[in-house]
Amino acid sequence: MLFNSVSYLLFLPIVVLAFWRLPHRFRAPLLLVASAYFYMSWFPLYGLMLGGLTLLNYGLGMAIAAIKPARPLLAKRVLITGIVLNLFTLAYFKYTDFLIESINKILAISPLETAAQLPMAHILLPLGISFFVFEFIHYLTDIYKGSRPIKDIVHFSLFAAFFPSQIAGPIKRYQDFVKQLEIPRRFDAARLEAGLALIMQGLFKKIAIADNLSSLVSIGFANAASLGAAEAWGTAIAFTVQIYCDFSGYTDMGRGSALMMGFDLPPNFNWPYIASDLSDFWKRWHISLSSWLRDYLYIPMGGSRCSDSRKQFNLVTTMVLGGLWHGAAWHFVIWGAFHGLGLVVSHMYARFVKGEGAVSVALQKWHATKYGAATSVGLTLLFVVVGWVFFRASTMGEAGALLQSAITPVPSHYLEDAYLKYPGFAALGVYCVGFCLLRLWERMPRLRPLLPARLVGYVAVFLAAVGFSPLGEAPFIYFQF
Amino acid sequence: MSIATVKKSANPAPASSSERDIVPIGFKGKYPVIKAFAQAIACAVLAIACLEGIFALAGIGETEHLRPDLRLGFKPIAGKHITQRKEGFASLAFNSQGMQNDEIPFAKPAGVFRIAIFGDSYVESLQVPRSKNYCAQLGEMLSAKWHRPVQVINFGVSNYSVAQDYLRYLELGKRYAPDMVILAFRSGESEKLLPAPSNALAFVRPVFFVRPDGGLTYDNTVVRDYLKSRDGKWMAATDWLREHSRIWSVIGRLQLNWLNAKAGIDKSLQNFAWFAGAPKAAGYVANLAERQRYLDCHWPMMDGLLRHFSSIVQAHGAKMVLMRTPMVHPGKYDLDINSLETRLLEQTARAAQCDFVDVNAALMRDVPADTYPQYFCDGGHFDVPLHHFVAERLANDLLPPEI
Repeated sequence: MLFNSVSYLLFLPIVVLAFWRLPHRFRAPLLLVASAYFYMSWFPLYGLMLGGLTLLNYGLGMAIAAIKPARPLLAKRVLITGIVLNLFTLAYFKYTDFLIESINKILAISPLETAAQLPMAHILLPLGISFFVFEFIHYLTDIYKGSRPIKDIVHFSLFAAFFPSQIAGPIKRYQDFVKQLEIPRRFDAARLEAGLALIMQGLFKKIAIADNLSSLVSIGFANAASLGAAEAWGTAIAFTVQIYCDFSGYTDMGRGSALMMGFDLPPNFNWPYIASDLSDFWKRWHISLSSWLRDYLYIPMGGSRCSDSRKQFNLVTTMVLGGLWHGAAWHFVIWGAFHGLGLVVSHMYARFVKGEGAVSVALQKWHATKYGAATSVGLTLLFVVVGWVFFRASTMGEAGALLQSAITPVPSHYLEDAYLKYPGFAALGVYCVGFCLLRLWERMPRLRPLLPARLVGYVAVFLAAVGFSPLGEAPFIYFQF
Repeated sequence: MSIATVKKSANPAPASSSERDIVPIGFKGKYPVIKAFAQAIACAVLAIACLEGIFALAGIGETEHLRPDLRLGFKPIAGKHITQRKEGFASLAFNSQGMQNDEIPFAKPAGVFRIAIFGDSYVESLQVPRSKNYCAQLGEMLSAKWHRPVQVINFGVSNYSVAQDYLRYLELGKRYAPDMVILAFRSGESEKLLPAPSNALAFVRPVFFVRPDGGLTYDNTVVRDYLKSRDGKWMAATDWLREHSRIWSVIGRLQLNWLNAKAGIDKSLQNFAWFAGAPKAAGYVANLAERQRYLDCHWPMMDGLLRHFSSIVQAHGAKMVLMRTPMVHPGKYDLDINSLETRLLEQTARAAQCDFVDVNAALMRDVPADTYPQYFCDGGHFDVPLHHFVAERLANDLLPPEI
């Protein structure tokens, strides 16, 4: 079930209504049943896989908590076993075909004339596996570090299966989530409306902006080698907007759905495209993943409390693995490495600017000006846009072709009709105007309309989103991860 | 009541201003309900104006172009602007006579040769810019080939049957005094002569029965019944909105999404069918190929209609051409050949002393099947290369007028 589907627009109100009508003790079981339906309406068998993995991690968590005080070494072994089992599950479903394909490529260029080709496994990726596996690893690690385990199996199951964050995050921290499950909540109309507003915002971003730009981007990448510079940059920028609106739109809808039932999910985005440097970008983009990578990969590897070379190695490794997490393909690895190297250079530059030499001082002064700040934002955005080309391209050749087209000053006309047919940029304009109006109302509360007028506004946003959306329901980009 | 603010919690990172969930709740001051109501009305008016404006600028909600008509079943809304995104892309306006054409005066300028093309959406061609459809291209090609101005007029209307084409010719076409009438005949055309099992407007068609003496009896029972039905009354009641409101068109799309969602929900519930035992066997529905086998049973109806149509056209001093056009089904690129229908159509053309042009056969002969995706839109209609191909074939096969 997709958040942008009509069936979800029926499913959510039923669940929200039932949630608030039931006594507190029945709410978690209700959410668990609803989440199971949400997940299993796609592919029932994988619901059993999620259930099995949940039981396994529940048992491991309890075991770690029980044996840690007396036998810490054994607890560590149980933790490692748990992490390995989770990663193995992820690797099996996500990376088996990638591995086979890579081996086949090596075999194909081997000098042996009769090199055999391994058959592809064609494994269907369970939705959300990359997200809930990371949540389980976080859970086991934190239990080992001393956090209290979740004793209520329904609460634990819901931690992994909670439908607003089940498929594409945000990657939750169990301490925050379970605390919210345990507190009996009273119906709060303000939170319900806040949730509705987030859902409408996310819906518009997804179906009006991202889905339109998706078609435009597909045409651009399909003709990557033939595009002129303007259309190549248009394609890259369109994808930059698309991926933000697609993923943050999903997150808004997930967070909004949770908020309607009184749950706060962590935000995943904080104006990433106005980041002043790459470190800042990763503090603003997919925040729940980057903070997970920081806490459970970068810091355990030594983080920044080690030699410069080791720190740089840690950074690049973390980003490469982060890239690989996004998908089983080399272009994701390259995208991760590109960002890893960018972060290394960015850190080196930041250290140089902090120096006391004349050039450093001049640079400090320059960065303090608004032109300097704008240049930093512009250069960071340029780097990110180029990075997205690697991310979106299906092969490295395609990425290379688009980047080459971007520096080839010839005219092309592949996207002329597409800009009109898929009015994603027009929808973006409408979104920006609407966003500015909302901010204006926030600054001037006296002008803020009353509830009935606001409801009219939500209906208008909904109609605008449906009006702009292309036909059909497009899945979210991050569902494939 | 007071203004309430939702506080955020448990977020590891600072929320952006865009993600602050601040919502004022409740009303205050005197007459709160009246104030709220008045504000909601004002907001609704403003929202409608804004949405209509935005949709007009972006070309959204401009797909509705048919309205019920007692005689014809349905007809295009004159002057309606259409932006078509479903297949291909085109943004165009119907002229004041409800034709997918620029304005053309009834009076024929001296020396101009007029060709009127009738048919359904394959002629109407809402999938490509007007200048690229085969009607426009044919005009240019024939003008160059015949060394005289040739005006090609597009009378195509989505989902029209030959019966409706005939009525359109009588009501509108003959007023343009065409020198040649081309009737585009795609595969399965004869099925459209029978009442369709659908309550959608585009399937509401009058019928012509062929009497034993060869004459035609017009019957619009289906149209009258439709107009009396709930769907028909709803169509009539919302006619103004359908003509003028883009928001209304978007709401119509929502209705369509809802129907699709219902099908999706049924499908997802099937995932849980193992709780309820074995699924029931699906009902039997004859497929197109099976129906086509019985075509010669009801062909006399088409034959009589075509003979009548061509005799009227010829009586008006024009030449009649029957054109077999290619067709694929949406999402598939296999030609629907229907050779029985083609054979019957050719026989009728010969008997009615009409020219017969088989563009379908030409496409099969001249274009490799693996390139069909370039020729057809994903919904099955003609894309620009196929329009060019059809225009070329017609320009090649049509005989020049006797001067």
